[in-house]
Amino acid sequence: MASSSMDGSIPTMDEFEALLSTTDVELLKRAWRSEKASPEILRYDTDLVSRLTEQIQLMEETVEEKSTSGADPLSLSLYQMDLDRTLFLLRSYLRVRIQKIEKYMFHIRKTDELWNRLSKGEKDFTSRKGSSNLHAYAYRYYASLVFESNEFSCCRCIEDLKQHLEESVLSKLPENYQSVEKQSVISEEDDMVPEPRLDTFVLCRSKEYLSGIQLEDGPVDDRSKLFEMEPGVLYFICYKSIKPLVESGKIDLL
Amino acid sequence: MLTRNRIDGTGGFLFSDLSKHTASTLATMIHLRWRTELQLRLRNFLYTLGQSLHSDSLSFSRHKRRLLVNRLCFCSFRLRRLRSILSPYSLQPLLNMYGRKACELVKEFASVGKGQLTQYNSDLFEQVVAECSQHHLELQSLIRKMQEEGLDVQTARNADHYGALIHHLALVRNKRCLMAYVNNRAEIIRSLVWKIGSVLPKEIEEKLSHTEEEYFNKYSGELKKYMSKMELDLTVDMVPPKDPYIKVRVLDDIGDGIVLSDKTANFARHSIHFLKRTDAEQFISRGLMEELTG
Repeated sequence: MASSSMDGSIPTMDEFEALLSTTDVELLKRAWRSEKASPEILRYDTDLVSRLTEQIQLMEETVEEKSTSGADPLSLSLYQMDLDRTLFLLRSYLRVRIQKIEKYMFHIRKTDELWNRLSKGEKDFTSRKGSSNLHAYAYRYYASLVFESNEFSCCRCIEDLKQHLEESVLSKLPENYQSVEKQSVISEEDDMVPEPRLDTFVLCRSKEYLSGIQLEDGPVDDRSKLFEMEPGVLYFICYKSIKPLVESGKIDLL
Repeated sequence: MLTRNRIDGTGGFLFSDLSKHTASTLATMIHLRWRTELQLRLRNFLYTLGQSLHSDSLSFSRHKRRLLVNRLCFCSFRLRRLRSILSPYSLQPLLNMYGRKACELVKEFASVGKGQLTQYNSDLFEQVVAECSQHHLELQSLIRKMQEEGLDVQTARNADHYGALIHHLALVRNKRCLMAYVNNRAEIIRSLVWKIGSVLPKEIEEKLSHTEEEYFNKYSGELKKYMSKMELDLTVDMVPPKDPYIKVRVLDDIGDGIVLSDKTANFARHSIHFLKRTDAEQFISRGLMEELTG
């Protein structure tokens, strides 16, 4: 939806590309790609999504208007196509996120950092520890009225799955073995919670020159060597090593 | 490796000849001729490991034999073959080996293709749950016994401790299997919501347990709520769009009561239409239409 760049003087190719790479659609494409490739959940860009939603609405109105006023069918179908593609990106982005959240929901809920990457309202109304069920329900109800939270179904999903597991398995086991998170009461850590594998390899590309990346895999004596990244070159690298750089948006995953 | 050498060192039959004989002929030999020899060797083996049964003679009462075999397998679980050698010799305990049923349950789930469901096996499931309770009882009785003998449960390392440990490990393993079974099925149920929407077809509904049906309904409700919040139907558009319109053929009589976003049409069986992709997708996923390509 590169609309603003089209009017005025004709920009040079470089300027045009620079403009293109900062449009919201391009940003979403980048976020979507990274989200698809990364093993763990990334930050949810609330502003970007709300901006896009507005633009999509605007676009829909334009298409509607043109189709009733009987404009050129070719340009109309181009608009429609553009709209469809953006919609696909947005849908796919949200889908990928939901699927990832579902897969690791228990892990995400118990890790503050990950939990904060979902959208804003959630952590207020699903308190992680303690808090009686009644409280949680009240909060949730209240929150569903007040917050415009975007992944708000996540905590409900956790509750539902937990209840499902409890009803079908855990309630039938001996009392020391009834936890969802732990194998038994003597486990010190939560050893029943599936976690994303951060040591998988990902394809990535840097936007700028980066140096001093500590590799976390390979033989031990190699790890002290620092790794450098040229801009625009493809690398196949262990996700753990570049995790902070992906989070800060310096590296795009492919 | 350690255990293998020790057993070999005391006689040199059990494992060194494995390459010459198949496991079954070897097992028959053991059964017929080497019975006493094997008993002796088992005792030696346990003594070398320092975790022997206390009795001088290995009276193979059923319970003890089961304990022994399990312990043996536990001690040398890297040597999978030991189990196959021992199995005809002490068939009964091995057929009822701990964790076997839970393993069957998980295997049953994995035996069908990805994304497919088998009938919810509540029978086997309950058996595993019963096994868990049994383990818990035995575990408690062993711990009580240790306490009665005045031993410190935390630090004592006698036969009862290892027995209790086996019961605990078996229980934990059973739990993991049960959870894996239910959790993986739940995952498929979730993917069903995405694929076929909020109405369960009869043939799938039969395969689910009661709580699973409930979960299906709750999940599809949640998803709907989330999508209405986003004002976006996430279940369409599963593949990247190439063209806003696609050609479809109607596979079933779905009548003319359907209103699409831009037109109405009579969708008689076998008729071919040129529809908006977003409109057609829901019918395609329900198997009422097929996309014509090329």
